Amino acid sequence: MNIVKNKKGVARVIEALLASVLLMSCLSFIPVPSNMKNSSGNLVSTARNTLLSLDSNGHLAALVDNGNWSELRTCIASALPLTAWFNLTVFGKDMSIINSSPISNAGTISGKIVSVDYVCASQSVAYTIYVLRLQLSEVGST
Amino acid sequence: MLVITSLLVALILLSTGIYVIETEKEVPTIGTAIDNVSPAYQQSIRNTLVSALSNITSGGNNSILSTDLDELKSVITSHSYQNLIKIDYTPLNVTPYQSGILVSRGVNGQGISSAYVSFVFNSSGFSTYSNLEYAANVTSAINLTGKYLQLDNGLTQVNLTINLFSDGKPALAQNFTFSFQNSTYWVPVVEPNINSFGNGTYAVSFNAETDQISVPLTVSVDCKDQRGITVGASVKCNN
Repeated sequence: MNIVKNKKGVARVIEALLASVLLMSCLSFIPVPSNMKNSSGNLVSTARNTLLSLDSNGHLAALVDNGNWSELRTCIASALPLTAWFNLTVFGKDMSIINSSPISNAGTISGKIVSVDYVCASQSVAYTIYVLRLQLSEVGST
Repeated sequence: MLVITSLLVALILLSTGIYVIETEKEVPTIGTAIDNVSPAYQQSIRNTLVSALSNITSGGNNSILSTDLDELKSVITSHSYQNLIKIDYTPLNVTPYQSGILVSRGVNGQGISSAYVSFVFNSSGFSTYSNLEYAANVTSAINLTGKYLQLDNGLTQVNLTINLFSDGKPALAQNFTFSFQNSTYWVPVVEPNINSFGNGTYAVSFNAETDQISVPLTVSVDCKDQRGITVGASVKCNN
C-alpha cells in the first residue's frame, strides 16, 4: 500500500516539474522588444539636428551655392561625434547629383547606416532648393 | 491534469504577450511625425521668406513670394517618404501687409521690410497623424535720426545715427546708400563717413552741398542687411 502511495507521489512531483518547465519555456517564447529602433532613431535625430544647426543662418545653402564642398565636409565633420561615419550627397530639386566631389569622412563602417533627407532652401536672391541626403553610422556599433 | 492546466496557462500567457506587443506596434500616435521634421521645414520656409524679401526689396515682384513657396511646397511633399504631407499657406493680407509683404519707407526715420505667412501642416502615415499651425515672420527694420550743421560756402554737415534690426534684434549692414534733397531733386552722397559700433548702431556724417538750404534738410537712406534684405527710410534733419 505504501509503495503504491510513494509511486503516486513521485508521479505528482514529475507532473509538477513538467508543468513548471512548460510555464518557464512559455515565458522564454514571449518576444522581447528590441532597442534597435531607438538606436537608429538617435542616429536619425543626430543627422537631422546636424543639418538643422548648420542651416540656422542659411549657411548650409550658401556653401552649396558656392560649391564649397571641402568647407561643407569640414562643417559636418566638426558637428558630428568623432566616432561617426558620414556621407553627404547634394541633389537638385530634380534629384540630379550636384556635389562634384565626395563629402564624406574616412572610416570603417560596422554598424547600421541611417539616411536622412533634408530640404534646404537658399536665402539668396537667386532662389534655389536643394535636397541634402546625409547618411550616418556609428563606427564600431553592431 | 496539472500538465494540461499549465499548458493552458502557458498558452494564455503567450497569447497575451504577443497581443500586447502587436498592439503597441500599431497604436496610433499623435504629434510625432511632423514634430520630428517640422524644425527643418520651418528653417527652409524661413530661408524662402528671406530670399523672397531680398528679391522684392531689390525691385522684384511681390508674386515671387508665392512662386517660391509653391516651389518649396512641391519639393517637401515629393520628398516625404514616410508620411503623406499636406502644406497650406496664407500670406497675411491685413493692413499694412499686402500678399504677405510690407515694405514701408517711413518719412519719420522708421523703415520696415517684412514678410508674414501663416502655415498649416498635416501629416498622416500608417499609424500616425499630426497637425501643426504656425506663422513665419521675417522683418528687417531701420531707425534713423539726424541733425545738420551749417558750414561756410554753402556746405552743410549732416550727422546721422542709424539703428538696424533683423527680427527685432540688432543687426549688421552689408552696405548703405545715402542721398539728400536739394530743392526738388535728390543728390547721392559719394563718400560718407560711416562708423559702426558693432551692435547694429552706425554713426554717419557727410557734407552736403546745397543751392539753397531747405529747412529741414531731408536725408534718405537705403540699407542692405547681412541677409540681403533692403530697408529704407528718410528723415528730416534739423539744425
